[in-house]
Amino acid sequence: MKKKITADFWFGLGAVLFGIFVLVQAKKLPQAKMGIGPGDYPAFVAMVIILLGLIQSVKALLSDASAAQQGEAFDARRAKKVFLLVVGTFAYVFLMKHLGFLLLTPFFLMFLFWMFGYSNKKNAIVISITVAVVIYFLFMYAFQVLLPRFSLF
Amino acid sequence: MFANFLSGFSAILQPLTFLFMVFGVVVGIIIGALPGLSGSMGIILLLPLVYRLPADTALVMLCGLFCGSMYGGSISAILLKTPGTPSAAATVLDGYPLCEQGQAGRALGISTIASFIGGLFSSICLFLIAPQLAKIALNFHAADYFSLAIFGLSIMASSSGKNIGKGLLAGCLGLLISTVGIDAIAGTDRFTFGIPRLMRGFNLLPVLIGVFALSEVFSQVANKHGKSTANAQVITNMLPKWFDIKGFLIAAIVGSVIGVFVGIIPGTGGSIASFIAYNVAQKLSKRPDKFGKGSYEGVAAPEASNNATTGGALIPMLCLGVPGDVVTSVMLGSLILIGVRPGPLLFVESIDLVYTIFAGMFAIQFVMLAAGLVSAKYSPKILKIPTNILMPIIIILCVVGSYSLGNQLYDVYVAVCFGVIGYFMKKYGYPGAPLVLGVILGPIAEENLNRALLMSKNSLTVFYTRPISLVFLLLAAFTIVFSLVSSMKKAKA
Repeated sequence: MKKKITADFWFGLGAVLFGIFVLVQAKKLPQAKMGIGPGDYPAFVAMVIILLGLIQSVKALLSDASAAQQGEAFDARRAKKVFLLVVGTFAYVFLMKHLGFLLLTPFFLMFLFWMFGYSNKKNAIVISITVAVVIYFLFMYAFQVLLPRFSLF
Repeated sequence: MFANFLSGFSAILQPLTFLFMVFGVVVGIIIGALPGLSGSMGIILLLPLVYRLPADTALVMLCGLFCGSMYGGSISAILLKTPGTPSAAATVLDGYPLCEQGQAGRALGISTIASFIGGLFSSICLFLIAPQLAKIALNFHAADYFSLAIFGLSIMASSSGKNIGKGLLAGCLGLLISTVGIDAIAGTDRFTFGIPRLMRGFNLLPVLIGVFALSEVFSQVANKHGKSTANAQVITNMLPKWFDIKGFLIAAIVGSVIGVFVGIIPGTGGSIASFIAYNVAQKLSKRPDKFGKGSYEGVAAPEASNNATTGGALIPMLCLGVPGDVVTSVMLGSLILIGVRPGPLLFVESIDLVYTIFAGMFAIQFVMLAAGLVSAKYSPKILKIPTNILMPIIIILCVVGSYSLGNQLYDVYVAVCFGVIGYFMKKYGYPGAPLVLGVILGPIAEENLNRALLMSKNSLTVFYTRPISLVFLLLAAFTIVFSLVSSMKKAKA
């Protein structure tokens, strides 16, 4: 029977490749005559990562995949939600520079309430506006942090 | 020593410090009670406040939050059958049966008193042990510090996940992340790839926010967030009678002793301590058959034990700069942010601060006892706060928290990126705590490795000819081998 390759195998392989990349980059850094040079310590850590990655990949290949896979079955609905939330958060941070915290946050909060399944629309609008205003003024007056403001340029 | 302690007490009795101490305890209880939120997340959410307060006030507030969250976990364990924090998992075993028998108030009362006993005992141990350990640690050489960093990382990696290999990989990733930017020894750019922003490396705060807070929110988005099923019974008869107290006092004391010792071991924490205490209390009990069916001792032992880990976990963090558990690793990060570097030198350079923490830990237990007894009546209401309202607000607090570090959106991007990394780590069983500890301990390990090699003229023998260094390296090796053997045994079983 063909063995199913687990996520552990791919993560182990990824660690090996990442370790090799770091090792190559570290070797380009200058060497020290005494003590350690800037590249020696990351090179050592990279070698440990390569070793651990190799062990993990081999272990994943040798182990019984069926049991390991049970807990990590791909859930498309879940993945879609997480992806949407991450993209939404990045977009929020990107747009905040132009639209400002106070203008953008209520809309982002309403999007988040929808993402987390909060169904009371009226409450969601009220909470979103209240939270954005309270946080904005709390940070401005209590912590002296001026959050990004709306700017055309 | 006692004069310092008294001056610590006068510091915590300052109105601002006292107010933030009470605030820390109350916020901690609420955060601990809400399943899905943890003490580490609470500290992260308070970080914008932490680095705008005086160091002593901030520290006492964080200690209050730490102790409060440890106790708060028992509220949902008793009322919802869902521990608010992993440390309260053992409390469910007898706390919920008591709630089903209509004794929710009594169970909450026992949990509050036992938490107070455990916390007070651990505060005494912290006061007595920490200065002595710091005296020993003052004699540490660079090689000893390097070995200590390796030991700290190995123990955190081995205890925070089922798979030690994954823990070590996470720790090594943290060590590498700490090398990004201008190297502190030679001033060379490392792994910046021509991006000027990366020359400063990654700030600890966005990493903490990403790995511990945003990753948690990302993983909760797909969960169903229904209405809380908090037990609707009215909380009455909280205070147990003297006869009942005598019945669970031994269990609480045993739990306290276990909690302190487990807490001192770096990388362990409340959940391990509470299960050990539960088992020992059952063996020592005159009525072991009642355990699991609503035993008072079954609530008192784990609750005293998990609260006793707080003082225990602070001992290695304050004396050696190695955190005792996940919450103290976040606390260590936040101390560094406010310019306090835990370690033996703290006991020389900032002795006032150290004794303010000691005095604060004592006072916190009394505040926690009072807040616990008062808030228990309202706890079913606290538990009704819907997660689907809390999580979106936490995202916004994470964003503004990272932004407020340097008024830069770059730090927010870093936090979100580490949130994604933390999410995948969590999903595939890689613990987040070793990664953060790697980021914290990385510079300590590298600088002391360099210093030790310079002093020994590039001879590696310094790491095994110095007794302290050798002990730490042997302990690190033992920890890894022990974890490997036990995980192999588990796999075979």
